[in-house]
Amino acid sequence: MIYRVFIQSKLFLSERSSMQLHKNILVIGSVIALGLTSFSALSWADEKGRALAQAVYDRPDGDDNVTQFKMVLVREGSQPKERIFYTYAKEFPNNVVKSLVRFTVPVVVENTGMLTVSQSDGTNDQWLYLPAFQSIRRIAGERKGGRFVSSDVYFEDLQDRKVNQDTHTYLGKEKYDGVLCDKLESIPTDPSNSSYTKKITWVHPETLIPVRVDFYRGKDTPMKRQIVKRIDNVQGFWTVMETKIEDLETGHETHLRAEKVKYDVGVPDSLFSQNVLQTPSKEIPYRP
Amino acid sequence: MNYLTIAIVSSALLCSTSGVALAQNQSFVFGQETESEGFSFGSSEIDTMDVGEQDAQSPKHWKFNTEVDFGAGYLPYEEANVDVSTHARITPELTWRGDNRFSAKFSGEIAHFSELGSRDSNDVQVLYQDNYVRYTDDNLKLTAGPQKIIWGSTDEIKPTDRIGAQNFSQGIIRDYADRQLAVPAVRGEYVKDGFKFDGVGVFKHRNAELAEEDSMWSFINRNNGRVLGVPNTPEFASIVQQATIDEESYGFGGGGARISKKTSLMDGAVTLQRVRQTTPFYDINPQISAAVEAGSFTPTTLSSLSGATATIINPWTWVMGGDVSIPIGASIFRGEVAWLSDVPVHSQSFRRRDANNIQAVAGVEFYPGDTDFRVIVQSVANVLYGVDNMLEQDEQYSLNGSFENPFLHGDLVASLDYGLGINEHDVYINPKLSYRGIDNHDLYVEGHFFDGSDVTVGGFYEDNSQVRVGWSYEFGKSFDLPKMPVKQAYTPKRKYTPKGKYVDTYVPVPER
Repeated sequence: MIYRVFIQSKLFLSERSSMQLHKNILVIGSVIALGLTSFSALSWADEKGRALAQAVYDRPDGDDNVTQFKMVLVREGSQPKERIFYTYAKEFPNNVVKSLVRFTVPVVVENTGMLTVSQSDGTNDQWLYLPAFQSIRRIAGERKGGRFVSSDVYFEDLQDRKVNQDTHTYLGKEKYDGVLCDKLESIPTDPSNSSYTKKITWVHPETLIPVRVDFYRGKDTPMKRQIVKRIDNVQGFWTVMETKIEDLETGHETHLRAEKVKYDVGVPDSLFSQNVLQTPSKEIPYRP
Repeated sequence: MNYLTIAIVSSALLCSTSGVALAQNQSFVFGQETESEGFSFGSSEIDTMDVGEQDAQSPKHWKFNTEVDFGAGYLPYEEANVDVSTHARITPELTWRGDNRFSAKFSGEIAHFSELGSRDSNDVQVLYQDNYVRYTDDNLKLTAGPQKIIWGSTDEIKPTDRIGAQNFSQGIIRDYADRQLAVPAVRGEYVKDGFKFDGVGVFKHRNAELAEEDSMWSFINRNNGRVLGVPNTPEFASIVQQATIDEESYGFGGGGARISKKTSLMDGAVTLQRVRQTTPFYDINPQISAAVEAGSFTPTTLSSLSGATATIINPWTWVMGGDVSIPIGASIFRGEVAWLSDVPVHSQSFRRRDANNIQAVAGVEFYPGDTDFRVIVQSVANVLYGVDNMLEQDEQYSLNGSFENPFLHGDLVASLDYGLGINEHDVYINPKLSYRGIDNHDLYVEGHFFDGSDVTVGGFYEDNSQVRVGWSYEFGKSFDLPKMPVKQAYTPKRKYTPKGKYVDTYVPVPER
C-alpha cells in the first residue's frame, strides 16, 4: 500500500502504522496529494475530529501507484508554463515509502529525476538525477518553504506532518461550493517547524478529502489557497484528479491534473534505486 | 467555482462539470469502477490554457534534441586587445531506446568563437560528445563508446573527477557540466546491496579542449609571455613569447574504479584511478633549462634549440580519494578530497619536476530563511608538495560557491558565482540575470570579472573581464521510425503442361 506521493522533493509518510498509511491519499506525487497530505496530519482537538481524521487517514489506496501529472503554472502577463511528470510510489516494510518522480516536459528538465525515501521516523532522504551531469546528487530532504519547481506548492506541502505538529480546532460545519463541509483550523505547535502560521481546511464529508485549504503566514488573510476541482473513483480508490493552488498575494496559479492514474501496477522494488534513477528508460514499461 | 458538483453515476444523478450544485444529502456510491464516477468542483481550467505545443514524451524509441546558444560580450579593458567576443553553439543529440535492454546515444557540439578588436581571433570547433551503446539490466549498466563521466560530489571543483576531459575554449566561464567532454571509454556500473561499483577503462586518451593560441582564453599569452599558473618572470616571458609548441598525443588513457554507498545518514564514495592528466602541462625544452642553470640563457638560446620550445604533455597520475554528502536538516554538507601523484611543476630553471598534490573541498548548500534563495559556500585547499622551489604556487586556499534566487516564480533568476583566493589575491565574480519566462528559452545578461596576482586564474584573465548577453533554446522531438513493409513470402508452385513444359506461379504464404 502506498500512500502518497510527493513530488520533487518529498514524499512522506512515516511514523504510521499500515492502517494509518492507508489513510490518505492515494496520489502521491503531487500537489494533488497535497491537500490530502496536509490534512492527513491534522490532529483534531476533539474525538469527533480525531475520528474523522483517522477515517481520512485510513482510506485504502493500493499497493503501489503510478501517475502521470500535468502541471500548468500561470502568471499574469506571462505565458503559461507546462510541466509533465510521472510519479511512482510504493510502500516497503517498516513503514518506509519510496517514490520516484521523473520529468518529461519541458525539454530543459527532461529526464530529471528525484528519488525519495521516506523513513519511518518522518525524515526524508532524497537524490536528484541531473541529466547534464549524468550523475546523482544528494540533496537536503527537510526543506519546507521552498517552491517545488517554481510552483505554488511548497516542499512542506508535500511532506507528512505529524498529528502532534499542529494544534487543531474544529470550527464546525460550513458550506463550500454548496456542500456542507467540516472546517478545521490548524496551528503549528512549534512555529519553526512550518512555513505557515495557520491552515484552515474544508473537508468533504463523503470522501473525506479536503476540498479547500487556506494557508496563512502571519496575517489575518490567507496568503495561499488550494482547492480541489475534481475527484474520481479510479480502480475503487477516490483520487484527486485536479486541483488548483493560488497565491492570493501575487495571483500566481498552479494547476495540477492527474492525466493517467494506475494502482496496483506491480512495480518492482528495484524501480526505486539509483540504477533506475539514472536510467529513465527502465521505468517506461510501468507508465500508465 | 462556487458550486460543488458531484458526479454520481450509480444514482444516475450525474452532474458533470457544468456547475450544477447538488444538495448535501446526495448519496454516493464508493468503490465502483465507473469511469465517470466522481466529484467536480466548478469547471476545469487547465484545458483552456494555451501552453503551446509540447512533446508529450510518449515512450517512443527515438528522440532528437538540440540546444542552440548564442552570446556576445563587451570587454572594457584595452589591454585585452579585444572589444567584442561572440559565440554560437549548437549541440545536436539523438537517442535511441530499444525494446530490449539496449539503448544508444549520438551527440556532438559545433561552435564558432570570434574575438574582434585590435587582435582578431576566429575558431570553429566540431567536437564529438556522447556516442555510445548501452546495455542495462536490473543491476548492471554497460556503456561502450565516447561518454561523459563525472565523479565526485562538490560543485565546480571536483578533486576526484579525473577521468573525463574538459573544454576550456571559453576558459572557465561555462558551467562545469557544460565544459565536460566525452572520453572514449568502456564503463561498467553494478549495484548490489546498496553499493555501486563503477569501473571505467579509457581506451583513447582525450586532451582538454583548449582555446586557440590567439584567443583571450588561451592558457598561454604570447603578448605578455605568461602561462596560466606560472608566475611572471622576464626569462620565462621571453621563452613564452617566442615559443614553438608541440603537443603529444596518446593512446590508452588508463582507467579507474569508484565504489559508492548511499545511506540515510550520508552518501560516500572512494576511488582509485590511474589516468593521464587532461589539463595541459607546458614541458620546457631541457636545453633551455640547462642554459638557465649554466647562467648562459639568452633570447638567442631559443633559436638554437633542437625541437620545440615547449611540449604540451599529459603525464600519468595515480588518484586516490573520496567524497561524502551529509544531509543535516535543510542543509547538505559536501566534502571531497584527492591525492594525486606525479603532478608536473616547473623548477626555477623550468625543468619538469613531479610533485604530489592534495586537493580538498568542503562546503555546504543551504537556503537562508527557508526560501528559494540558495547559497553554496565551499572552501578549497590545493597543496603541492615534494618539490622544492617550484615556480607554481605550492599552496592555494580559496572560497568558491554561488548565490541563486528566483523571482516571479522562476521567470527571473538572479545568481552570483564566485571564487575568492584566501592566501593569494584571486577574484572571479559572475553575476547573472536570466529570463526564463518561456519554457526552454533562457535569455541572460551576465558579467565575468577577474582580478588577482600573476599566478592566479583571476590575475591571468584580469583583462578579460566582460559583460555578456546571450540566448539559449532547447527543443526536442520524440519519434518512431516508419515500420518497414513486411516482405510477402511466396511459395512457388510449378505447373506442368502436357508437353512437358512448366509454368511457375507463386502463391502468397498466408500470414500467421
